[in-house]
Amino acid sequence: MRLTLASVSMITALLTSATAGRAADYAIDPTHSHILFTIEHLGFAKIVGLFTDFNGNISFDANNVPGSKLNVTIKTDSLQTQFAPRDKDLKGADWFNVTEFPEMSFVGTDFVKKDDHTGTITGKLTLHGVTKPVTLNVVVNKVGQNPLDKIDSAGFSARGTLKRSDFGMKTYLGAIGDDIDLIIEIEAKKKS
Amino acid sequence: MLENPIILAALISFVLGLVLSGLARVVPGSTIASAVLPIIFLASYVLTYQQVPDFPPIGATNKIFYIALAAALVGFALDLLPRTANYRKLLAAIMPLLIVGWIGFPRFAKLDIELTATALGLWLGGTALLWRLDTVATTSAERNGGSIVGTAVLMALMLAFAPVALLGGSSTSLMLCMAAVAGLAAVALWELILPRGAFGASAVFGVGGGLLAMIDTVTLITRQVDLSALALLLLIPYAGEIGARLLMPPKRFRGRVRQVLVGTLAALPILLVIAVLFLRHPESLS
Repeated sequence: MRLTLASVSMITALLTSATAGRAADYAIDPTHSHILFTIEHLGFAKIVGLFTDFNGNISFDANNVPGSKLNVTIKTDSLQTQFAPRDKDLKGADWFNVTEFPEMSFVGTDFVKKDDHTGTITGKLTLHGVTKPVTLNVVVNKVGQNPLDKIDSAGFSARGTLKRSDFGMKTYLGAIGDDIDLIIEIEAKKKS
Repeated sequence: MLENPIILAALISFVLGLVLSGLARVVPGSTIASAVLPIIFLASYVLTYQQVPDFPPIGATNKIFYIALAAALVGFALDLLPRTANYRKLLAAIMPLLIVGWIGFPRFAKLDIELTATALGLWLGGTALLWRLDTVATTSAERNGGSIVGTAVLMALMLAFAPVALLGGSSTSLMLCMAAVAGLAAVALWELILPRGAFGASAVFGVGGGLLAMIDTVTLITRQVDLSALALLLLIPYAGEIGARLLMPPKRFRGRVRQVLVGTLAALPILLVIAVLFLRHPESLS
């Protein structure tokens, strides 16, 4: 009997360990996630824009960060900057060109852990028909069960900068900034 | 004032027009002088988009450059050859169709009645514009045509399209139009001082083709254009001729004086375009 209990304990420990070592798959929860950007306007202020329609999947294991996976797809037509005429311009052929490029995407390729809560994700951003590497600084805010819906969830904050000219978006360079700062807040729910 | 990128681009284009068109006058004949016009358009494109786009171009705005370049080269070749009238008319009909097809290609997978009608309108409208520009280019100066009228018509078309583009979600097209108009104004100035008949097929198809590519991009890709205001552009190539027949008896107004007056009359529909835009989009222009 003692032998049997010991066996059960060992098997349980092994199973727990195996589970902890496997990445969990999450889907981005769009109701609690935000993808924003800021861009300098004539040196005076930074215009804020956001995309309201996006989706994505994350595969994350805190104990094996390099094995993580990430892909996000953003509908460019969901762009908003709180000024309709500007939105019209930005969605047009000179900027995001939503007719020819209805989606932009980010696929993580290199995940680096700095400490228990921070790291970097380098991935391929496809924007305007051009694919270039972009690195995001990421903070892992919380991984655990959501107390309201009891679903395992993970929350991340990411920041990064890209040059729009790298993606062939050179309209009004000089007057309108080249650097685009990204502000990304993601809450993702574990897939059942 | 020079901090305004539109004014700066227009100034550079004007100076470029003065220099190139002036230098072209050293060469006898009109072929080289005519080629200066599409060069100005291409330079205006580079000033506006701050790049020579990669080839093959990705996206409609990048295609504009190569459409203007290819059309200018074909036009230049036609200028070098004798007896090309039929080829020019054929090109005036085919080129707008090719431009609509290439620019609008990403949308044609989901062809509906509205898109079909728009594409058809752009093709036929483009053909009417190029056909008329070619007629102006090949008509003798004494009969209202010639380089000054042709250049004035192109300038008027761009000045009229600029506000249509702005309200159609393309402030960049406005900048490109303004830069090109400034450069073309420099050519027109040279034509007044030292006429060379600088309005051959390279000008008709290079600048005309570039303009059509811009119009098709804003209409088919940005998709916010006011089609009523856009349709009024078709009046511009005819306004000068009709106005001249009504107001200026050939016996009293001859030669370059007549060309300048006809060119000025060609600009009148711009006011109509602006009036229509004001009436239909008061909130955008207030």
